[in-house]
Amino acid sequence: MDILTIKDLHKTYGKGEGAVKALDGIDLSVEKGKFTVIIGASGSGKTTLLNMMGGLDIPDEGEVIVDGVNLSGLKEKELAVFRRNKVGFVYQSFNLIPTLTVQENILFPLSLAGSAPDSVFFQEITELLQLKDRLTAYPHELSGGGQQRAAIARALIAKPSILLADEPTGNLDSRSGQNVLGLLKMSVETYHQTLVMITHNLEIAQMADRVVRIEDGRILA
Amino acid sequence: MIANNNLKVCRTLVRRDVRFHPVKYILLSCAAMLVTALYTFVFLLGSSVENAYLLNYQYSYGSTSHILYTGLTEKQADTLTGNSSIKSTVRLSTIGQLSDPVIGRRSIKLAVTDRAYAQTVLSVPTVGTLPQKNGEIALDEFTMDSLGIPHEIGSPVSIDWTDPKGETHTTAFTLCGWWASPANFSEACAWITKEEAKKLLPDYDEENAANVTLGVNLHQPKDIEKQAEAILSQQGVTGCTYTTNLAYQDARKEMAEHQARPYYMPAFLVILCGYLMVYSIVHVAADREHLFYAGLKSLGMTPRQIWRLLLEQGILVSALGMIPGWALGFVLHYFITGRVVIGMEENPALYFLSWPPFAAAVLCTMATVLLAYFLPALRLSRRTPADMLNSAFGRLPKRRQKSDGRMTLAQLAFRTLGKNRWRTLLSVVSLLLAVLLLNSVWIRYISAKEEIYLSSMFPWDYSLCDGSAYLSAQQYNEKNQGITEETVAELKKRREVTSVSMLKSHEIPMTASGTLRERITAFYNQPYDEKQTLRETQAAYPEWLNGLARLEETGEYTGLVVGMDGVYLDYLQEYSPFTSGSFDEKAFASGEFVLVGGAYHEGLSSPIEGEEIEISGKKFTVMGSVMHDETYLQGAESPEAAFNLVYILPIEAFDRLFPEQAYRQLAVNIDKGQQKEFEVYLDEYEQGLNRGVGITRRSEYQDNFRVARLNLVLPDLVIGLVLTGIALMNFINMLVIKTVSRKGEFAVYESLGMTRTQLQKLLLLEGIFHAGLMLMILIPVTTIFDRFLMPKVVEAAGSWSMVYTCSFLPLWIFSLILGILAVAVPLLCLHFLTKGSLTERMRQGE
Amino acid sequence: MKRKQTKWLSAVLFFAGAVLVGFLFRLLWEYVPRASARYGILAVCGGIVLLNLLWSVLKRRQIEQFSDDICETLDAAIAGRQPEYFQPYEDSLTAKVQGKLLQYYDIMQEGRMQSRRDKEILQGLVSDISHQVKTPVANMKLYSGILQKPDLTEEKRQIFMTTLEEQIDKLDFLMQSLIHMSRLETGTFVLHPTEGRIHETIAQAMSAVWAKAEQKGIVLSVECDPEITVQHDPKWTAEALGNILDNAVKYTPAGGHVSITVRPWQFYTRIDIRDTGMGIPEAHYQDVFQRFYRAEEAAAQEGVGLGLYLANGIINRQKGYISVKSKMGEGTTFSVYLLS
Repeated sequence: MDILTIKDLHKTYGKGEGAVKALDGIDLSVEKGKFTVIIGASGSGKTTLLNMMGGLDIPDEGEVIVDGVNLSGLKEKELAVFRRNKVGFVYQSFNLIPTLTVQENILFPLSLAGSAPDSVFFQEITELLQLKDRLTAYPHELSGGGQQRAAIARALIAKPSILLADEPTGNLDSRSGQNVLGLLKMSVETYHQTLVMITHNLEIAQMADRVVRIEDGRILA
Repeated sequence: MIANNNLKVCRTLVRRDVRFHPVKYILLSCAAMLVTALYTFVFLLGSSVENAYLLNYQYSYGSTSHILYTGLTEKQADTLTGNSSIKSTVRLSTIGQLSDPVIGRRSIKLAVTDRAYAQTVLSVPTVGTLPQKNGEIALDEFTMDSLGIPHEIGSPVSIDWTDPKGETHTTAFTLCGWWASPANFSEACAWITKEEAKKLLPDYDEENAANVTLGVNLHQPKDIEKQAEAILSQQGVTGCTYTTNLAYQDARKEMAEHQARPYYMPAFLVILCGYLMVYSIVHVAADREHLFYAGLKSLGMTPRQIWRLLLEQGILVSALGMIPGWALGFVLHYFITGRVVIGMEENPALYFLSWPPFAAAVLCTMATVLLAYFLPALRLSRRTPADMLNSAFGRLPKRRQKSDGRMTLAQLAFRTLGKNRWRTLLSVVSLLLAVLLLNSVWIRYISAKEEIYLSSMFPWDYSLCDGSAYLSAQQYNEKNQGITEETVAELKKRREVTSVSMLKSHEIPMTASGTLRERITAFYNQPYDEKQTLRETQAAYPEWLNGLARLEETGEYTGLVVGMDGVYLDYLQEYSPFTSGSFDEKAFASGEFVLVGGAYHEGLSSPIEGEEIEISGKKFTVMGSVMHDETYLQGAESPEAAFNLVYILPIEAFDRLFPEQAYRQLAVNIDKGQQKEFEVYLDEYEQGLNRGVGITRRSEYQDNFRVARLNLVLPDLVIGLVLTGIALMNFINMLVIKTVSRKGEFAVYESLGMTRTQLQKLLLLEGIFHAGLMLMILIPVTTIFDRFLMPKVVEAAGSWSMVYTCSFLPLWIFSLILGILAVAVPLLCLHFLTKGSLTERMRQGE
Repeated sequence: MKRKQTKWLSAVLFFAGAVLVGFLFRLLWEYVPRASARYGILAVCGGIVLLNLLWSVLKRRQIEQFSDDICETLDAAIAGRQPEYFQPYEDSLTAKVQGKLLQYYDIMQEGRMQSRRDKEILQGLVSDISHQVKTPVANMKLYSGILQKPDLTEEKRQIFMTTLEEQIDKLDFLMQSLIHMSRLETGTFVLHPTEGRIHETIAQAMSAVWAKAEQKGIVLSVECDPEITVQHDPKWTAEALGNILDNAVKYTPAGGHVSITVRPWQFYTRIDIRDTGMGIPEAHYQDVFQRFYRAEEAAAQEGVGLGLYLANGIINRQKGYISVKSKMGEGTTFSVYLLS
């Protein structure tokens, strides 16, 4: 069953001379429960594509259909609810909120939805990501890797249907990276989640159920 | 639908924000405090001014009661008191009215002592007491001065009065107390005891004696006229009259509001100020904020939650600044309103204190602060997170065709001007507003010329006049001997005094010749404009019309003979243009000639040059006729002399004609250097007076003028100073941000080999460019404003004492300050920025 | 406790309301003189009360709507269809509860599917087992029948006895494999992954196939740094590797090569087992790991078709995975990834 369908996506940034066509007619469908990896050179449009999938950006043309709902028909406030319920982000640029503790940061999507956290699950995740003893610290007290791990925990806590990750193991040492990958894979299998990841790491690409190559805004067959 | 209960997270975020950025919130509360203070001040000032006008109306009405019913019997008064709309009443029983002609237009009632009523008309004696024994009388100072009664307890008082039946009586009393009250301009009471009243008019309190005045205060002072009628008809009382308090009339209330409106106007400026201030502090790091909100949106924060976040921040900031703001606003009000609202005994700041201005100030502050938070967020809420992230990096400068790739420091510095355009614009706008406001204030201030004012209002240093002529509403009592010969001699002897000029006047009945009658009739029948003749323009002055009619019918009129010398003559020559003839000093001094004063209008309205006039048996030749500017004469003429022709003689000639006539007024000029000693003497003299002599000092007029001049611009000045503070703060803010946010950039420059000196030079150039940009906009706009707009403003102020003077002083001061700041601030920032190793700075900069 | 509180609260509210109304009446009649004012005030108060009532009616309406929506969602879930008023991305309480209910439904559904699948698997297992057992048992029956014949020569009896033994061995082997497989399927055996030297495990695996390889004349070679450690359960991993090696040896013709190379990567350690056998067509890459799969070419050979399946299961359990690359006619490389 396809959880994510993308039809003829186009997106251009900038105007006039400096215009860049980030996505040039992308068609893609992702099956539910599968691990997909997106590979491409920098500037090929991978991040833009991931943004579209998560409702972080609106395409110029084309449709993004997630779980039967067309994202372009949603208003900003509905997109916000979509983002916190259905999608988990692990991104380089959207970091932790500096004025909240690690625990509050991890539980943030749930607080936004007004839901209570599943404490067992929370314990499991924090243990696996070795954050158990750093729960009351503030983000600036953690190392880069620690912050990344906290961001990953935040992405998983709401058990979203889709996990979108942009180089999630970039800052991490091998031990943590293994744990992260293992956790992601386990999450995917246990909760039947779909994982779409951008990476340069061929090992990880090997692990995937499917590899998608992007170049100049188009998918290579 | 029931909205989701997910707003608690907003509260947590705000609390943490406060904990982590206390400095920002302190600054914000200071800003909110300042805004609240300004609003409080403006509203308190406006409401004080409005209430002062209303109080003024009350004074001229003469009573604090809402309705005054006159001509009631005791029984009627009792009946009326029972009405349900009436909150409280005061009662007055009169036995008659003073009818001494000298009292003039004022109406003084001889009344039975009633303390309650006395309080409502502000007629409680300040010196002495209300009459307790028979034969005692308490009077107000105007009446005393008009009658020439010395200010001493126990002085004998002889009163002519008329009773309700129309009979006149003359009774002797002894003075037991007096007061001075601004409410007694046109009406006052003379208090006597009940027994005395009974003695004088035995049936004054009879059943049918309609001599009770009832002062009524209502529960709801609205539509007073209607209520007055309604009360009468409800209680079934007829045959009496009533007057309503001016202060509660809707028309008057509107007038007061209208006059107080200019004092409320600065509120708009405050909105702008407040918005700019809060906006610049809240959005200090607009980029980081963009990132923050983009992050929140990507995590799934709905717009409703973001609004809630901003709302809570706004309310917190407003609440923090509320109480200190009130306090500061009240302090401003205490010091400044007292200077704008003059002429009150109590401090107007405290007298008119009420709660609505404070409440309004808080509401307005909240509105302003929330506006500053919400308006920028409006744009935010519709954009997608990725979009916001991209735009956070700003616009890049246009590619130039000609650049060959090399950079000089100047070019680099120039590039930074283009960054953060909105913030720069904000800075420019706020600076511009501040400069314009200060400039307009300064120009208005210096355009008010003191000399012009004084030279025409009060050309001499001191003026002593007879007590009955102190106020223009009082009729000058010729019989008064207030100013004595000794006084004059003493004054002349004093070494500080450079000149003493004397003026005496006397009214005599005269008859006009046929030619004169014709001339005058023709003169006043000439048209003034399309609608009226000259005569009709004086329709509001019935006594004057009667006098003119008398002249035309019978040829009889009252002539006012005035003897003057010294500065009075000079004044006459300066301000009263000749309609015929001219001034010949020697001839005038000989005493054979007389100057005639007619109407202050072009044309011949009096005897002209060459004609012969007989005054009190002596013949004079007319030297010339003038358009008589009579503002130098103090006091008013008698009703018969409302229409008069003025005959001016030298004082010696006058003395020969009317040897017993006392002085009306003296003008004294002194050597300015010895002003202090003279003032001491004058104070002593004034203290020792026991009869009415009015002393007016030039310094009073000077003070009045200075105060009025200051008050003209004071509210705007305060706002202008605050706005200046804000604008400068904004400017510094902009410079600091532009420098501090490029910490990493500077580290990179240094790592590429830029020396410390080059970096300093770069920043110096940037500062100069910024200052240059500001000045480039400020100077032309201010010049246009000053040259073209300000003259119109000064004209519109409509004051004859204001002459437009152009000055750019504030602009220069501003430019200087801007220049210094533009150079000092970046360099100071640089000093702090370049601490720490290069790599550290480069890393942090990310 | 809360219920009692609310009951008390409503009683207090009602009582207070009555008192206030009485007070209001008293005040009005005593102190307000004008009739019109009295009625006016009463009308205004009545209006305020009415507004309050309307407000509470509105609130109740909202709550009723909410409960209706939830019930409808549950009904739809029970019936297996999409609920009618379903706005999944509305920020309201209804959407929140609906979302959670649907999540629960999905999990339940998944559970149901899973148990159905498990049942199918078990059925499949049972049928596979019965199928596989059929042949050896039939053979055994046949041979025991033959052996019971009195006029069998000693020679023939020996042959048949050996064959019978072979069949019993085969059956035994089948049983063992089936037990392993069922344990694997139902997850009843426990792996104890520890950090151990892969070198030793490989050695152990190789020892199992050494004899066979030598018999066929296949060269076995190993390239492994003895210090490399991986997270694995030595016993089971050895078995898994052994199965793969067994396969490799089985399908490589005589004189071929089977080489084992160990390369440590960042997250995983890669163990390549390369053979020079007949190769596996690309279409069947995933099929080789299925239960009882046997390539047509290998039909003649021994084997049950469970070796690779078991190996895959064991490696997966240890959070690793196996991948295949092959060229027809040249050889196959099995890459085993284990957590390093």
